[in-house]
Amino acid sequence: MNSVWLVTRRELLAQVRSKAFLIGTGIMLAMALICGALPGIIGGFDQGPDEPMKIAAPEPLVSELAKLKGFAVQSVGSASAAERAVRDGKVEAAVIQDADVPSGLAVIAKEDPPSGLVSALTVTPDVRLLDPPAVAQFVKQLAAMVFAVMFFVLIMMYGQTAAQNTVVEKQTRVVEILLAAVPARVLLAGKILSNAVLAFATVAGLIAAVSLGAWVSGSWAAVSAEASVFLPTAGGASPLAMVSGSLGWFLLFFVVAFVMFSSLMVGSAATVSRLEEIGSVLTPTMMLAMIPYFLVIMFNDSEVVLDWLSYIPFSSPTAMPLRIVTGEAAWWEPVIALVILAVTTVLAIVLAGKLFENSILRTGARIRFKDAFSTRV
Amino acid sequence: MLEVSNVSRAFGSLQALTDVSFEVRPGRLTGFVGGNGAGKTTAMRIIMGVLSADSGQVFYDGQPIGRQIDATFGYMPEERGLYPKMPVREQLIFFAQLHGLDQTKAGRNADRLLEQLGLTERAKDAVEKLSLGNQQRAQIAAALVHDPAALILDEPFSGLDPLAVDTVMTVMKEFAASGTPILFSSHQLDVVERITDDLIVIAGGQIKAAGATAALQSQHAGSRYRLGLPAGHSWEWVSQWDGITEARQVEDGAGSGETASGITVLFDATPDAAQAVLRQALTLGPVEVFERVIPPLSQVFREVVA
Repeated sequence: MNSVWLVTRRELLAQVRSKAFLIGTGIMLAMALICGALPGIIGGFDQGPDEPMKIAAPEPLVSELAKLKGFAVQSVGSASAAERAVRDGKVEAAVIQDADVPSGLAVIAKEDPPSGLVSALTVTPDVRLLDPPAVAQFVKQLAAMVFAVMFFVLIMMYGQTAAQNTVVEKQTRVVEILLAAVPARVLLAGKILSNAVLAFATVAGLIAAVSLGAWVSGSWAAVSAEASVFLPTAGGASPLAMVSGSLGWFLLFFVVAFVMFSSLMVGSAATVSRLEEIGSVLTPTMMLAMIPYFLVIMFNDSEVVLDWLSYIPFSSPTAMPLRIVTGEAAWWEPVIALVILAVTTVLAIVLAGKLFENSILRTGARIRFKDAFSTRV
Repeated sequence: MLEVSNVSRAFGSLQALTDVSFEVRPGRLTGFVGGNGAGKTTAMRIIMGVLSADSGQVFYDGQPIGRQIDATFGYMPEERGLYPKMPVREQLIFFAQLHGLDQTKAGRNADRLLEQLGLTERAKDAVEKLSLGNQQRAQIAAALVHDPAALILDEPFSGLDPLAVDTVMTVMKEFAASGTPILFSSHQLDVVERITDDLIVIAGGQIKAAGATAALQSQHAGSRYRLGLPAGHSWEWVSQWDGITEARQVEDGAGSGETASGITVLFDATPDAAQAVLRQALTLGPVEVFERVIPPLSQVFREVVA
């Protein structure tokens, strides 16, 4: 175990010290930070502080709302009059009392949820749009995009680096010294572990950067107001909890899937002796990652396809969190998908271990996968 | 003691080793020589457990070798094998720890070896930034850093300049003196001749000769003798002597004639005839050198392998 950790640490250090890694990760984190901050910044431009937002409300609420800064409150006779004022464009939004919703308060707006108003209120109101744009599908597509791109890019980035490191070890014959000291599976385990740690840290870092950007710029409120409109809030969970819940699931799926893909890539890489040949042996694994990536992006509006994709281990890390974020998945569905993924991952590790052990010392021409399984070192 | 016993190994249809047996004794430098593709590297890899044998076994102090024992050995593979982008000292410590040393001991050993091999100033440099000779020194340090119980060095001298060869030789001798069995392969037979105590010759995957280097050399010493006489003495009589097939004078310095400014004569003779020549020479005057010519290792090698 100690030697696994030594190998892991060395791999981590080698990665962290490489310029490509530092620059790539830096850019990714910066982009995540900006993405998080963007809604807040844009929202900030929308409603300048000097121009108070016109809102309408029936009598008992007016005095309360008047205490809020940045709003010009008009008193209207009734809830229906308030709604009419919004529809006629006299005001941007209206606040009414509504006994049917848990908060007792509802905000009415035309097309966009008034995030400034929603966040200014002490309770989270029910937001009703009179003229809702058809953006729910857009949000879903965006989420699909974000999950799929994050997944794909990170697997390509780290998986390929791990594969390259393996070939370098083989090319420089370091591997002979390593194998004289520790068994091949310790080496493989260390490599996969270091990759999993890196992947986990990166995704967690990305999520943290997005959250930080959102928090600093005030996007949180805007996002949660948007989310409360477009996402069904099942079981009384707040939309934010749903988003972060699906991010949590994504992180879990991602780490397991990452172990699966990187072990396959390292195993395949062990069959070649020169960096130039690495592309061809990684192709099958890349396809396994790439095809689901496109399927999820293309078919995220088809529930049947998405249902299937969310259970297939190569696409479930993207498809299942997507179904969680839109509230389509029952609580047990991600659990089953995760078990399927975990079992596949174990099989992948066994497969990769065999490839690795049987190929790592054989230099020269590329070893065919078939031979790597049938002959021994 | 390290003992290779009846080891065979094939790669597909190629029989790389056939029933190979030899010993590497503690405290002695054992040279392993053979042409390209003779099976040296395969044998060394099998000793290190990096390859498995089809049949046969390797023993260390009477115990069959396994992962536990192999992990205590030091190994230097034929081609340079270090992480190009990793600093030298850090790399040595990594290998030492991988072999089970703790951090402090690993650091101490790394520093000592860097000092001995003249690499202290390059300790923080990445391996790829070192000259080839220094990379080779670092490679040797990597094999020695965990206080190995035995050393297996595949071509430790290749790519080294004569001074570096001396440095590495000194380090190897020190390890041997501490009782560590050392097996090293080399193509440079002159270097092997200078330092080996024992020699193993392999060709076509079979052991052709094994034993103390000096003994092997004298076994292959033919019927050639060297006679050194003071300058001005006559030597022509030697060629007419009974049982002498050939005699000739060699120039001073050539044929490693040791006599300062004397005459060196090489002649082929039966042992009895040689002794008779010596007796005759002594009656004629002083004899400065009389010896059976010990063939250089390269010649022994050619004869053994042929």
